[in-house]
Amino acid sequence: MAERQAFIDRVKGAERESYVVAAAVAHYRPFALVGDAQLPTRTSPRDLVAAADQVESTYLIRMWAEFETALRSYRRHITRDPDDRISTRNLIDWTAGVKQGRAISADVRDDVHEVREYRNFLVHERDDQAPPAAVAIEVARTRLNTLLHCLPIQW
Amino acid sequence: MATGEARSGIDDPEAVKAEWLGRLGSLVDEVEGWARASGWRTRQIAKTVKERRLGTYRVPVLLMEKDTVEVVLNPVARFVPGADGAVDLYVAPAYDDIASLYFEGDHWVVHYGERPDPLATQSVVEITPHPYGEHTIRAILDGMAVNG
Repeated sequence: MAERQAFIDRVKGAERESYVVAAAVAHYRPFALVGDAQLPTRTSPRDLVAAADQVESTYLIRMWAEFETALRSYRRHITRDPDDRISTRNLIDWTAGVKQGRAISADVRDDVHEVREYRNFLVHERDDQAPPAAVAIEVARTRLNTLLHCLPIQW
Repeated sequence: MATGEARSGIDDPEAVKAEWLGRLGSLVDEVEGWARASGWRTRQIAKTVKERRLGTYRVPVLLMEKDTVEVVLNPVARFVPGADGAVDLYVAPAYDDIASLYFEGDHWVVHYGERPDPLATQSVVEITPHPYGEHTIRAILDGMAVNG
């Protein structure tokens, strides 16, 4: 049986862990860049700089994965179809339309779509369209957990 | 008592788990009583926790609601660095942090205050700890009810 709270915890955990990792990298960076701390074998300062720049986006991608796992679990429970291949966009709209648990407003749904678009941009960065508005990880957590909190306590 | 920092196995996981669940049950029941006395509607649900040293087990989660404000008392784990158990207090539905309760020594301590810069290297244990008790919990809840 799946539990709403466990999924919410994972989304929240991704945010909190991102802060810890960002702080750790920021602390380590000046020492490593001047040679006072050793970088791992087969890495260079450019990897450290890149890592520091991408902590938040990396954890936002993981946060989205936790969220999407929750929605797909919920849909499998409702549809009883383990081979379901619904797109993520439609999955969000479908979830918002299921009349179980609490009602999900159009605003909550649209906020989640903005996170989805930003996550897709991070993963599939394309130069043939304007980038979507950036979503800070704290904002993403707020939006994703607000929708998850509307799902039944367990399914 | 097993310590939160211990990396090795524990002699009697079932005993540690039973003690932890008893501790959690008392905490949740107590906070629920104080919340109700302050006019909050409450509900206990259960969630599954997995810890390497204790396996998979179920813990109580306390949902509290007053007017349009919802607060969740959410157990984290028995084994955490520097304490023998941790429970978080969040505002729902977004799950913004309010406070964390740690079992330190032989009693609960409440860590809360102004949220630090997430990227600062200040750890939560450096936030001023408050004694756990009815006064502290009701003050936090009343503050949430007023300020959201």
